[in-house]
Amino acid sequence: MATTFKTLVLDKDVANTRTMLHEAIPLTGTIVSGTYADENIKNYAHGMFQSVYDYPYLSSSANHIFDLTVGYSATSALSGAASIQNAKKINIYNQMAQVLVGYDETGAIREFDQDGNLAAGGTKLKECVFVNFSRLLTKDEVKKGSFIMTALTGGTPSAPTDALTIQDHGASSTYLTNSPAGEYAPLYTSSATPNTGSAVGLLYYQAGIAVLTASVYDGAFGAPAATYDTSSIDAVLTGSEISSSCDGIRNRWQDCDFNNTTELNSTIYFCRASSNEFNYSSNPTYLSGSKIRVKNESTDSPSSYITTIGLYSEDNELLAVAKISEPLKKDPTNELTLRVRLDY
Amino acid sequence: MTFKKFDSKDILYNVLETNPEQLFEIYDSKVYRNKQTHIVGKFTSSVPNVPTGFVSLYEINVDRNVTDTGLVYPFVTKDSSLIGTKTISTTSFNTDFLYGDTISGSYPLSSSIKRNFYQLGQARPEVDALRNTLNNYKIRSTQFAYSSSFGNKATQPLNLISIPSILFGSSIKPTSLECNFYISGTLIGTLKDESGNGEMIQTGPVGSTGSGSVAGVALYDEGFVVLTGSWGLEDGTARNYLNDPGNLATASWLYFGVGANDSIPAGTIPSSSYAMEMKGVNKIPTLTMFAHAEKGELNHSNNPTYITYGQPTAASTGSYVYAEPTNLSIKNIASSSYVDPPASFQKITYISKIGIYDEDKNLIGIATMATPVKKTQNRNLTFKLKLDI
Repeated sequence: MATTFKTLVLDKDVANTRTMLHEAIPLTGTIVSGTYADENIKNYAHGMFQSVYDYPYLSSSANHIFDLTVGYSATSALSGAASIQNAKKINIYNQMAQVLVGYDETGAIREFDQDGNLAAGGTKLKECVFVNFSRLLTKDEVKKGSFIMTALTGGTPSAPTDALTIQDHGASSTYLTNSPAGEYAPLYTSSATPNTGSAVGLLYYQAGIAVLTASVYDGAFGAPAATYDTSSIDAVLTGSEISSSCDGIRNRWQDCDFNNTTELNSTIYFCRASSNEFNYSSNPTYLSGSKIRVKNESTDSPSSYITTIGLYSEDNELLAVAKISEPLKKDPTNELTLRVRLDY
Repeated sequence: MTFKKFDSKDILYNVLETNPEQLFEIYDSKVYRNKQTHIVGKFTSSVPNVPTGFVSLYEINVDRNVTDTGLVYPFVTKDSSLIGTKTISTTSFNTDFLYGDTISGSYPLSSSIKRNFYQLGQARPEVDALRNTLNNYKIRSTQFAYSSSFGNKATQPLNLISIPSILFGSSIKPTSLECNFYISGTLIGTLKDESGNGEMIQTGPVGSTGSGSVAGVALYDEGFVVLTGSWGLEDGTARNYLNDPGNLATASWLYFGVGANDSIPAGTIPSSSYAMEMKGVNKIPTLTMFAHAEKGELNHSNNPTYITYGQPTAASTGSYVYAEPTNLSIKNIASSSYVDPPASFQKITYISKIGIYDEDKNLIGIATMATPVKKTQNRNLTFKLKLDI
């Protein structure tokens, strides 16, 4: 063990880095509906959203994967006193909008904008499906440009057809930043050339929320064997509860894939042992019979083996220890720079 | 908002110790942990996606397979940070991947106990690696010595049980480790460390062969049990503990845990079963802070709702002046028994959050109350904030 300390020079020996770690997340329709007889779906007494798990939620093995809900603006044509859970659907829309889009200069909640250009006005998404992915899956953020969702948009509830692929095309390089919830990008269908008028939703990367316009579902809509009017999604949004709309969305969920990102911050300490340093040790085994074990003649160069690096505070308190996989020989003929990385 | 400084009496550092129990039962080459049964899923033969007796590190990929549901997997893009997955060697990282290439890993990562058995004279690198550690514990008992009059662990028949630290935490709690050996459900031997020095002594059944003898040692911090007791625990019956029908052996501590991830196939020794129980030691450093709101303090708020509604609050501005109104009236929220007259004016606030700042006044933590706490001018309050690190 060395008994002297070397001071790290902040601008030369210490560097901070950031690394992005990712996970690929597949969420197939087999998980979302049909497999567990909806034992992995949790509905609440408040009826404002539905939680989806990857396994029956009464099991301790189950992981929460996302929450699903629907809502519409108070200015939507679907809004009306006759609509079931009308106030709740408006509240859901307003709650999501105030968090994700924010307020205008008069203090009113902004509506979701199709292309994200709030200043220019343009088309508003007034009837929306909200998919709020779990933090377990999105981690720090959804990786831009990695989101693909395939929804069956046509056919009937018992035989949905017409797979529509929705992606955040081009978001790895172009995304919007005018949301209080962070960065976001429009979602486009793969069949349409992405342009300001072709977006069918918005994806908020740090919030981990996908917002889809309800109009992507253009066929009969609803869960199989539903008792409410399933002629269209508008009929379901007005004539049934939020949970019923969520059942219909899950019924048409074919696949969803995205990559998440975890930001790994690191500090790298370059620990330098110059030629005349750390060639001796004060370990008990360094001596044999009061002689340095590694020297046979008095003229031999001293040498030591470096096994551990200690990082100390200003007050010489040991804060961290780095072990190297195998001891490194140190003698006056060599110099070493050991790179110690601390992740947090 | 003004700042209040914690003094030395307001900050306490403690360490909370927890002792989670672990029970491993080994039978017919399967390990069962904490009596968890094997659950067959819709898409996998085992729901957590790890065999019974294994801990799943991230507990993800529950009931998933490649075909029907896809698997969650980690990946990193090779860049100048030189970060790859643990399974990629340095050589492979340098030669097989270009900058910008994706390096993938796989989930789940799992862990369980493992048994290694070494016959007389057989090479044993795992035991050799523990040589210094074993010798270091000679101060506890001479039984730990790598080589002594009790035997030479470099050559003698030896049974090594490895317990990963994810199962116990910082260390195994001394005196909590117990090993039980059963034949056809009948207990034929119990090992315990009753003195807590690491010696595993046969304590039962009463009067059994070898009772009171030391059958091995336990390395509590490192998570190893080294068993060398070779006396027969059962009279007259030799069994196929070595997975070699031509070389049967009598039950002894050398054969404790046969089938615990040691490549011995199922069906080899259907009559023997084993149980190993222990408590772990998990240390949780906790920081307790006392935040005081004393009489006459924190009775004012800058929140807009603190003043009476409807007063003009716009600042007056001119070429040389910017002045906010100075005589705004504070809303009196003191409770009265009558609608009119109202209660006498009191400065009352409701404390809903406590912010913790560092010495440079950077906000580093926020404690939020379950319900706001009423603060009047003649009321002393102390909030206890606890942070598990």
